[in-house]
Parts: sequence; structure tokens; C-alpha cells
Amino acid sequence: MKTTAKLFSVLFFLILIFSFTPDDDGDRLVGVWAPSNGKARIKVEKIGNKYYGKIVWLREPIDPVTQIPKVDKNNPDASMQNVPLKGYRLLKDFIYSGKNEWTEGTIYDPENGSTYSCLITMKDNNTLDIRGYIGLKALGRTDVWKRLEIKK
Amino acid sequence: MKRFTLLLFLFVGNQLFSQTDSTKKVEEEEDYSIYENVTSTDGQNKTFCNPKIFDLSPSRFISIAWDQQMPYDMELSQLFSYPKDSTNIVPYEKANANSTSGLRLFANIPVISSNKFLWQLGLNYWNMKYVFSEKITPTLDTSLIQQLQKNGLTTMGLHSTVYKPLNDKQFILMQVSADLSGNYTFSNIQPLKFTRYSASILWGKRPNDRKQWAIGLSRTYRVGELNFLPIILYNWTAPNRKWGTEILFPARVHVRKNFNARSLVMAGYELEGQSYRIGGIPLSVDKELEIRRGELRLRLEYQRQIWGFIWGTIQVGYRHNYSFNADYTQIGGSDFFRGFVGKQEYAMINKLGGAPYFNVGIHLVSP
Amino acid sequence: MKKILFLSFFVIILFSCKNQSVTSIELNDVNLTAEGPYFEGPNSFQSKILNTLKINNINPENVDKIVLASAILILPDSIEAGLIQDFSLQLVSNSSEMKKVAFINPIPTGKKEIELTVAQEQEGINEIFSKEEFTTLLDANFSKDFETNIQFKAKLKFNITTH
Repeated sequence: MKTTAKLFSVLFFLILIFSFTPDDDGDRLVGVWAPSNGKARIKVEKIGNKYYGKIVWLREPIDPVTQIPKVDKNNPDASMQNVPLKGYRLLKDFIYSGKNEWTEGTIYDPENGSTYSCLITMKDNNTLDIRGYIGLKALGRTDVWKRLEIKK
Repeated sequence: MKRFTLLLFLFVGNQLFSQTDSTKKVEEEEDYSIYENVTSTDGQNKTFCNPKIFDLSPSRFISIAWDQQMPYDMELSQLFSYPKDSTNIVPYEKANANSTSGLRLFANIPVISSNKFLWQLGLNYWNMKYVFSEKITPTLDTSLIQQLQKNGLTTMGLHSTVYKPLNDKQFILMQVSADLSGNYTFSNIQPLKFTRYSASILWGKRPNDRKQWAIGLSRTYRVGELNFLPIILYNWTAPNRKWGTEILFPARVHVRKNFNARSLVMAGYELEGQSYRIGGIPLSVDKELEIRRGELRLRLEYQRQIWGFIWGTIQVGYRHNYSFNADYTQIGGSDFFRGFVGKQEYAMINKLGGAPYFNVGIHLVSP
Repeated sequence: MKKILFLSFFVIILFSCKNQSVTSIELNDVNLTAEGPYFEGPNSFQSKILNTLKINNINPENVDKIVLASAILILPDSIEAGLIQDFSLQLVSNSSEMKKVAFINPIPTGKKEIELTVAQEQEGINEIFSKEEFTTLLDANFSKDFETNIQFKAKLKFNITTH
């Protein structure tokens, strides 16, 4: 009886442990990443249960025409065209769906004000395939992002 | 038992509270100035030049358009006449083309699309229906005008485009296409041996986000018959992002005015042409007839986003006929090269009057 | 006949309009917090909002549209002029898309209460509100590092169209 009770307790707590195991896999996306064109650096963070990526650095932060920090001048909503690009969340609403993929999210291109469906695939811990597409995944383009580390 | 249970609780409790809220951690550690000084984790951070520059007109995945020409006169010389001089042709057939119109379908789908390599496959379908206003004379089996009125002219083709960036500044662009052009219908497609092949290869540079240029060579039917031509690509956007050029000389040259990210207007010209094999006309057993259609279209085109990635275009312009002459080609389907220097005589020398035209289309684009 | 048709048309319009009503909900004590220190650049402040529709006796199934009508931020006294360059306000819940609903750039100087510019296009707010809990996220762009903890108070007014 004592042995049975012990075994039962072990089993119960094991179930508890595994059901509360932290979701580390999805959190591997968190960090700073550089798109292939080198024009920006994107910081991915987790808010709630979803992942978001915002611009934290721009190679050319000042608009050469207006001489002020770049803003979202191509936003289709005219009332939002003065939102600064630094701090802008390009990647939104991604959830980790297993197998090194983050789905259900979108990517915004401030160059033309378009929002694309997006699939993020982690090729290795330091490399992402960011595929923006329209409707079908075939109608899109993949960009390779590399993880960055802050120099000490 | 009590001690055992306590140990288990401590162990599980550690697991439960080891979940980290990365949001809170991020806010505590935020320091945006540090993103100036970063390094790639695997030592590589190679960049490749983008196939586009700022503010180019959007490239099209799928297009559906209707092309309509206004009335014009058509004068055709007699078959087998081998006219030597184009200035003193006595027209054998004359008619007024009341309407020349048709559907243009186009699809260009990326097979591989990444920052290092872009490969697109596409197909196109163009149809031109001719409606003549007067009674066509003569009403013989050898009448070309009758054949045009019967089935019009159709082109179906496949093409493949490869863009390969060599580094962050240089790139190579290649395209091959195969077109089947003639007066055939879907139920009576002409033999594939009459397929005509075009190809081009360019090497270029993209020095910044507002300029790209390239030079190359092409094998083309753009003015109706086989030619080998040098080509120059020059896409440019002004610093104020309101003006630009989109040039692929000699095929097309446009100046662009961008109103905003969702509408623009283009003005310029494009050369169109194909070599159409004409069936249904009795010829000698070793000959085929091909019309070498080449046109210069001066035009103004307005492009605008309709909704999401659906754009509409309206094009108005003037179609100037460059060539509607015809050649005899081999029954086996092979073509010959005349270019601008060859002395081979045309089997027919034909004249088409110029005509205003318009084209309206709807497209699925990738801005 | 014409009169009957006109009258019928008028009655239909009247009834279809009559079925919709617009209610305003004001959330005057939204406290957006984040632990300092804060560094130069964008810093995110959050506040969870619970059961808004339920508290105001609104059935989510009757909601046609929700829009943010106005957003006012009250700056704490500890903030000096020019410390924050711009604000943007987002709404998000676990099972709907994040929506940017208001911003201001640049921040007017000499004012303690800042009225944000509200987005003209606000699709999908219904979905965020229909959940029991959603988050308001305020991104504040700091012009320099700042050590002291800050809390922003926001007054948000939503117009809810129901049938």
C-alpha cells in the first residue's frame, strides 16, 4: 500500500512536470536578427503567447528627402504615415507550431506599405528563412536572416 | 513518505517557476544604442543585391488584359509575287480592319525565390481577332485577309527567367522563351516544330537602392523576325522617389511618375512582335508562310492598386506598324536569319495603317 | 404604387438603422507599466484589460464594430520635456492580430495630457474585445536613458456599435 502510494505520487508529479515544462523551443526565435540586405536589425520578443519583431536599428535612419528620422510614409492608412520606423513592429502575431516553424504571422514592408502572410523557419539556431507570400506560399519570396550578438 | 513527498514538491516547484517571461526580461534589458555594435553569430553576413529598386512598377504574377485597336487600313501584296521594292506595291488585297482585339493572359510564378537566387516560370496567351468592315476582295482560298478574319492570330508561349545576384552589387539575368504563333485554334493547334525561340542574357550592377543597369545580348523576335540585338537595362528612381525610368532598350523605354506607393503612370514605347505561321493557304509542298508582325506602341499607362495585391491598368496609345510582311520558310519548321543586313526577299510586302489603341487589365502583383 | 414603394423603402431603412445603436465605453484608469531602467529607443509598457464587454453588459455576439474614439495619455511628473519623442499604442490578445490604433509623433511640449492621433482604419478590434482579456501595449521612444520607474495613465474611449 505504501509502495503503491509512492508510485502513484511519482506518476502524478511526473505528469505535472511534463505538462508544465517551459516552451523553450518557440523562444529560440527571441533575439536580434539581420535581414540579408543589411539595412535594418530586428529584435524578436514574446508578448503573451505570440512573437513580434521590431526594428531596433536602421542603417540609414534619416530620410534623405525630409532630413528627419524615417517614418511609415507608405502606410495605406494616411493617419498612420507619421509613425516612426525605429521601433516599428514588422513581424506580428507569430505562434510556434513545432518543427522549427513559426506561423500565423505577417510581415510588413515599409517600402511599399504592404503586409504579407509570413512563415518563419529556423534552419539552424543562427539562421532563419523568412518567407513572405500572397495567398499561396508559392507566390512569395524567401529572405535569409542571421542572428546577431551584441559585442561586449 | 512525508519527506519523499516534500522532495518531490521542491523538484516540481523548481520546474514550475523556471518559466521565464521574456517580455519582462526584454524591457529590463532594452538598450537600443547597443544594436549599433553587433556581430553575426556564425561570422557570415553576406548580402545579395535585390532584383528590384525603389518604386518600380510592381511585377505581375498573373495578368488578364483586353487589347483593342481602332480601325485602320490593310493592304497586302499578292502571294508568290516576290515584290522587290516596297514603295511601288500594287495591293492585291485591301480591307479596312474595323476591329483588332483580343485577350492577353500572362502568368509568371516563382519556382525558387530567395535572396540568393530567383527562378520564375511563366506562360502567356495572346489572341488577336480581326473584324473587317468591307467585303474582302478577292474571295479566294489564297486570301490572307480571309484567313485572318477566320481565326485571327494567336501566340502561346512558355518562358523561364533566372536572376542570380553575384554579390551585393552585381547580378546576372537570363531569360529563355518558346512561342508558338499562328492562325490556329485550340482545337487545331499547329505543329510544335513551328515554335520560335528567344533568349537573352545580361550582366549588371545595382549600385544603390535607386539604380540598376545591365548590358547584354538577345536572340529575339520582337520586331517580327529573328534578330540578334544588344540590350541595355536601366532602372532608376529619383532621390525624391517621384520619378524614374524603366528601360529595357530596344524592347521598351518608359518614364515613370509615382503618385504614391499605390499608383503611378508610365509613358514611353514598347516594341511588340512575333512570327506567325499561317495555315489554310494552299502553297507549294516545300513552303510555309510566316507573317513577321512587328509594331511600335507609343503609350501612356496608368497603374493603380484596386485592393490588396490586385492592381488595375489602363493603357492608351498609338500603334505604328513596323512590319506585317511575310516570308516563306521551310516546311520542316526551321527559320532563317535576315536581320537588318540580309538580302532575302519577302514573299509578301504588306502595309498596315497606324491606329490608336487601348488596353485594360487586372493583375495579381508582387510589389 | 410609387408612394407605396417609397414608403416601404423608407420603413426598411428606418428599421435597419433603428436596430443599431452606438455605446461608448470609457476606460479612464488604464495603467501602463514597465520596469526600468529605460534606455534610449523604443520601450514597451503594458496593461491588461479584463472582461470589458461583460462589465458593461454588452453581449459580444451583438457587436458589429468597435473603434477607438480617443486615447489620452497622462505623463507623470517625473518626465522632463523632450524625454520621449513619440508614442504608439497597440491592442493585442492571445488569439487575434495585434492592431496599432493610435500614435503621436512628435510629442507636443509643455503638455501633461497628450491626445494621440487615432488610426482611421481600425479593422478587427471586435475580435480583440471579444476575448476575456486583452493587452494594451504602449511603445515609447526615449531620447536618452532614464533610471526612474515610470507608469503612464491612459484614458481610452471606445465606440461600440451593436444591433
